Amino acid sequence: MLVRFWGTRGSIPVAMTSAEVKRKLVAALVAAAGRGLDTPGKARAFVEEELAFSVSHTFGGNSSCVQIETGGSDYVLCDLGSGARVLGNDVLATGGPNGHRFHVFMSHLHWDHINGFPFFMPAYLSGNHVRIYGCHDALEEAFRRQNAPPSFPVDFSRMDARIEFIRLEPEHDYDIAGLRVRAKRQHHGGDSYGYRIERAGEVVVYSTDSEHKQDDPKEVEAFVEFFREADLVIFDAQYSLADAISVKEDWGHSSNVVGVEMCQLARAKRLCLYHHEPIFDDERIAALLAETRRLEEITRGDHRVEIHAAYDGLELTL
Amino acid sequence: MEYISSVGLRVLMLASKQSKAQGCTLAVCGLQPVVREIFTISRFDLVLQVFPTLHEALAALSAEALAAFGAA
Repeated sequence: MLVRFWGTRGSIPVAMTSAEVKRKLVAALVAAAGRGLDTPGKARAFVEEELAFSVSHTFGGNSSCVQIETGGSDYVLCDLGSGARVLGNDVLATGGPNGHRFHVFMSHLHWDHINGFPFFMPAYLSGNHVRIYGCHDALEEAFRRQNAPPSFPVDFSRMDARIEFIRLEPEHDYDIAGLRVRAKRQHHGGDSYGYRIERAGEVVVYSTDSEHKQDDPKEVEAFVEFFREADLVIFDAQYSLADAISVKEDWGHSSNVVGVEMCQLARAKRLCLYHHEPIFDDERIAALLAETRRLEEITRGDHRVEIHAAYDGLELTL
Repeated sequence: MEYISSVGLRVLMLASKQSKAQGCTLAVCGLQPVVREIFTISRFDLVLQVFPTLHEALAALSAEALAAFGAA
């Protein structure tokens, strides 16, 4: 499987400011001084191989949307945040206007996880098919309400694709698009659901907007089992641990520290920090990644967990 | 103590809240290097007072306790 991240920011989409662009340019030009980068090839190699990620790239600002590429013709997605707009345009640009089928697993229905759908162009084109799966009673209502006055000018009924809403029961196994899928309820305002997605021995866990209060050992163990030996755990690490259990307790998010511990206990192969705090700039997220890698290193037993930080455009091959 | 997990840190947070409610201050001192790093990474160094030594902790928090410690 290949996992492609289209939106990785938490709570609300953000855009890089011109001040941030200028700061990156200044840092890059200073680093390039005296290097004789007088051809595009030399400059590109310098940018790709020598500049720090936080200078040469951005983690991006679209809200939650992750694609799981299985090798089949159907598209498999988790959440429809603003990253889905970019994905939809890419599908149309590369695959033509119709004949596409999408399977979307919804963690929950908060706006940052559904706000890409009114701009998801394949949904407006007949001949496409969108199947939206979720565990919430209000699954269909949330999408219809978003595409209705006074929130939006184009009504849901103007979407000409075939759109289906399919309710899933948590803790049940489903076979969908060639995948084995299981949802698990998570602690978040109004509940959220994580998904364990398996195919041919490969496992991806999508677990965002999930607070781990750790006051019930059985619940901790249940999540460890949910993450058990996953090839990749996509984990909500929006807050620091200190914030998550003090001023932001019950705000429904978790931390890098808990992510590392749970993946160590579950013997997961990779942890991907996800749902980044919207006030964090690229330097801050890069520092968070470095700290998390250091935490994994100093607390490692006989099992190493590979640590990543998601960014819009990241591809991870399992 | 050479390691502290998130569960252990949570206990410290609860103890700190209870201490504040009783007009007391909870601080930590003499952290081993790994624990000190975990405090930094978890940002607990921003919500709990951390001192290099017990003497420095007492000096900052309680002259009375410092005197008693010196007399012991």
